[in-house]
Amino acid sequence: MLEIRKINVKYGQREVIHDLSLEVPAGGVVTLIGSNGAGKTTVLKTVSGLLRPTSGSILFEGRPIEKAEPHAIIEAGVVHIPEGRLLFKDMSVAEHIELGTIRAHAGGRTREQRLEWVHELFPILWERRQQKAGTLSGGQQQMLAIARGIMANPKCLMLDEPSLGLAPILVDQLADAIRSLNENGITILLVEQRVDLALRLADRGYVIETGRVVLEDKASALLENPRVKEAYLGA
Amino acid sequence: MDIETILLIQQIMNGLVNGMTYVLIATGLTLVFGVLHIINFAHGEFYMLGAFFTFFASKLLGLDYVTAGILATVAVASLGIVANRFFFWPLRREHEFTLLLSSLGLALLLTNGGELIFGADPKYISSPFADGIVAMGPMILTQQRILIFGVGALMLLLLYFFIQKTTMGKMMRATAQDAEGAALTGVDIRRVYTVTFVLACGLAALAGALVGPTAMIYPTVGSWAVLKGFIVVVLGGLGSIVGALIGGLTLGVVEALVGGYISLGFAQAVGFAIIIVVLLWRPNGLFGVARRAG
Amino acid sequence: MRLRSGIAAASMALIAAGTSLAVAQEDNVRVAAIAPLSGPGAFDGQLAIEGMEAMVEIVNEGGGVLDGRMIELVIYDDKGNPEEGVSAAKRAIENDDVDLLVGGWFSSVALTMKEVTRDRMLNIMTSTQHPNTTKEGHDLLFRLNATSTMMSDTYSDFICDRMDIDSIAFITINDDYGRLEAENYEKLLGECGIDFLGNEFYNKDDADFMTVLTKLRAMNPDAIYVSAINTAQGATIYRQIRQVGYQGTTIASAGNMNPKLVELSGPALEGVYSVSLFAPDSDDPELKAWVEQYNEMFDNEPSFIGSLGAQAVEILAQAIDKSGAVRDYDKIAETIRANEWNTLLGDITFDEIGQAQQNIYLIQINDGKIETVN
Repeated sequence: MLEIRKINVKYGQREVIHDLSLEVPAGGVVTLIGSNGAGKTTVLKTVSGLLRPTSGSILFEGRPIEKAEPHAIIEAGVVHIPEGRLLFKDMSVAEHIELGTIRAHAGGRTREQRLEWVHELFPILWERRQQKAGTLSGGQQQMLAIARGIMANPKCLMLDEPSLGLAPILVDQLADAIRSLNENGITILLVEQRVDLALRLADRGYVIETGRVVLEDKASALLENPRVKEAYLGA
Repeated sequence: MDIETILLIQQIMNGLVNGMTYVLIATGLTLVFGVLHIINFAHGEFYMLGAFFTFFASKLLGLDYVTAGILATVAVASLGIVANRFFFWPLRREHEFTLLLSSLGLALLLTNGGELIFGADPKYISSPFADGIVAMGPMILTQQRILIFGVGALMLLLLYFFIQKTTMGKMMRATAQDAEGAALTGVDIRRVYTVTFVLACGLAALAGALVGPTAMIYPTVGSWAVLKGFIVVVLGGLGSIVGALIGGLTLGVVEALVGGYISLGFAQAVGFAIIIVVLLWRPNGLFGVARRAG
Repeated sequence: MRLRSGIAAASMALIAAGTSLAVAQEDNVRVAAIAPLSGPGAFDGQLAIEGMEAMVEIVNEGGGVLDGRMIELVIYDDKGNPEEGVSAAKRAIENDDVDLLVGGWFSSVALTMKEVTRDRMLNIMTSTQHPNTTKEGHDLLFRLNATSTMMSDTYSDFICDRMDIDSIAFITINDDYGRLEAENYEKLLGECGIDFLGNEFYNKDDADFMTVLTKLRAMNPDAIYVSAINTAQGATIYRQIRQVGYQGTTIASAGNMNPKLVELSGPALEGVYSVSLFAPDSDDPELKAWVEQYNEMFDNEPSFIGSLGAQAVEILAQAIDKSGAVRDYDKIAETIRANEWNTLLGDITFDEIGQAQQNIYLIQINDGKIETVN
């Protein structure tokens, strides 16, 4: 569904991603593993159009998207829920939900169906729909970021560090929500600092170090891989 | 009412009208800063163009004042698209200082171009409302000044509605608060840039068309406008429209009272004095939103 | 803002340098023309320079000066402010080595500029009215305009005799000229029993006068005297006097009337009096030739300020011919002082301190035209 072919990406003058390729099959959950600064977020930003690769291509459902503007990529069905959520703190929950739909991918669920789905997944947001985003708790803000993403009717959802700053009980809820999204037909590309959690959610994983893929395998296999265990699972 | 009270009320009325002009100028400035984080030194030149376009539309096309003013506003608002396309949008990823220089370059281009094309001689936009006097008891305002206040207030209401209620307005607010978050939500940032500049330039031009008939116009009048705009924006806080409203009216009234009770020379200085006090006391202005670092 | 004016100044300097380099010729008589070409006085400066250029054209077409040398203007912008005026005069003398210098449109500029030219450069001051321009001048300095004292002597007689007013208030520019003018009239009009109710100053960059005019109106004077030395501010003041609802008599300051001001001020100037050295309806042949030349070269209407510029060129050209000198300033100055000069504003002479003795006419605006009143 989403295919990254040998992209190189520069931040300013410095190249931070080198000849990176990866593939996210339709309906799957793929995770990117790597230490801070390895380039995981950069990969997601490049897919969502915030950054341009200097070479290589990115295909979504067979069509190149590496030159498209972010809003066009959303329209195609790829939605990026960024690290730190990037909410609009003075705008209400309802306004976030409304803005989420402005470039929604056509087809699949209707706007009403998505609204209902968000309502089901995160009932607390419905109660707080008039509240400003800045006044929500960390967990609620993450819910809102995901809800905003769902309203764009994604086929492929990219989540960047969704568990960051959440209490353990909320992390479990989040994992349930991600599973539920995937069961409802949304392909997931997940970047997550909690590698154990990420690998348990995912079918497949890529290990990235200094902008290159160094390892790629089934998630279950990576969980047992001694190199991964040592570097990322603290064992 | 005794003569002193009448004079005081009259001066406050004069100040409110002048203040409304400042509000119109400052709103565009604050909008461009608030949404796009750009300090636009060329903003005053769009005020100048609004005034000159009104003058030429009525002189060369034979249009009446109101039609000429509307036409000029629309024309200058469209110039906002061009200005953004060539002077701001291409530099959006550059350092803020580059954008600042670009706007400065645009300001010089427009002033000098204006002097070349329009000539240095002062001009007068004739309006049927310019000398018509409306007496409110012992108080007096010209029809033109009532028009300035009325249209200014109406425009601010419309702008408020636009920004609060329409999808485009919400997209602008989203961009203002987090441009990257907005882009990832599907906001077409380029359109937000364009619309913001169209609104800002249109408001400045409208101010020029409205104020034109109360004084003479000349190609360097834009530097006066941008100066007043910046004083208001510092007073009210960069990026705050409510701040621009209160800051503009305050500056107008304070200038009128100082001019009326002390001297005009002081009235000019008082704007700068206010800035210093506000910056020391509340560096983000009275209503300003603190900017995120970086 | 400072950065911006800096860049503007730099570009103006480049333009000025460019023009002087482009046309410099070995044997031309080069006359520095220093006038306000930017800021609120820009238009008046333009009128002044145009007046000079038209007269230069006439002189050069008539064979120039001495044995066929052409007069060439080197133009500088003093922005209407004293510092810029000083720096322009220094550049003219030290860098560009001009032969003669004409400047001093605004008194504040003239009063500082005269110290640069003192005993060093033959200098004709033009429209400045401050008495000290000549009173504290030097041997090489001449001033064309009547002083504000000479003007106010004539004008106050007229105001006392022919205008039926008992009280007056003033709005004047906040500089040496404006302050002196208010003082003069307070004294002179007081002598004939007209009450001086007050004076409000404005600054050379003010664009709105409603607050002070509101204040003047509240004093309820029979007349408001407007001292407006530049066209843009003048027209705004005249219009705003009516816009604050004042219905009494407006009196326009001496020597500051021009057709553009009349046009811009519209009905606000109708019937208003002023005094001037320039009688627009005079049939002096020199004046007619200049007006014709001016209209051929420029779109603006010939104005008083332009006629002073022309007169400066005319006197310099005649004095060079008569004395046979271009650089012997003592000799030229002596010649100027010793003779009567036939100019477009009539026959004039200069006194010991270099002050021109000109005719002063009373004028009035009627149907949008400046007319002489007899």
